[in-house]
Amino acid sequence: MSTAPAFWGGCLCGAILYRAKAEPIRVVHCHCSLCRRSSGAPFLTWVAFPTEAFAFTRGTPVAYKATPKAERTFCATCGTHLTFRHVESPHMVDVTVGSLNDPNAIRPNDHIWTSAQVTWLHVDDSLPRHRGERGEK
Amino acid sequence: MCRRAVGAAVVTWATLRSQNFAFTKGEPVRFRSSAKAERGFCPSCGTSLTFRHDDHPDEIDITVASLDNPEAVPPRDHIWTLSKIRWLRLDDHLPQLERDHWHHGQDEASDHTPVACTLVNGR
Repeated sequence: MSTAPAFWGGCLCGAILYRAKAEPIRVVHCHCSLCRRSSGAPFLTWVAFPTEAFAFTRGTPVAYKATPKAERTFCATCGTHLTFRHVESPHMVDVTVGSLNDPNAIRPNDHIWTSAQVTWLHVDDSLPRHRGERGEK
Repeated sequence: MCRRAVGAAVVTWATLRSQNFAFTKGEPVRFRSSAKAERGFCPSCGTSLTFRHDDHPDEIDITVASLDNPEAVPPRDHIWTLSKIRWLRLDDHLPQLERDHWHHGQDEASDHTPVACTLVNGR
């Protein structure tokens, strides 16, 4: 029997449900302008799972490409943002922590794209901060 | 509710007088997220745009992150901290309300625009 943890989530209206059965690869707060504008939130927190460990178990979300290399999905009925995939990281899928049934079950690791962060947002968590992607100063 | 409706840890809203707000291009999808509240979002890309409550028809909330310049509208307080994700620590020294302004009896109506701007932690 597998001992991998399982995470469940979905959109607000319940039309889309998903399950991830694996340890998260990473959990990041992303402050980039595309995360902000595409969601309507000041930043998005993403939990990454191995692609093969993630599956939608009910419904199919709408896909939107804000850039040629990345695809975001959301529920067509209630608008909840659900996933992010990048062609250069096909091994993982990012899932919005706000769509998890229990967002307290995960722990963020760091912040990325702080160069684009709204200046009135003050998050006091002492996590590593990266001006761009990880590895960029 | 805000968290699950958007997929974000928090959502920041700017409250406007309804008569001071208009869509100038396109129409959002409208979703009844509760018996008395309606949220609007773009059907093409999913951006959350608006929140209206039937008990306050003279107001509309718009997501600050959908503004062309979100820097122009710094938040004034936090609401629904009862539902806040535990790992999220905000050190902005703004007032933190366990529920919303209406529960706390504050008069949110004003002729200023925006009349309130709130970092929402749930709802």
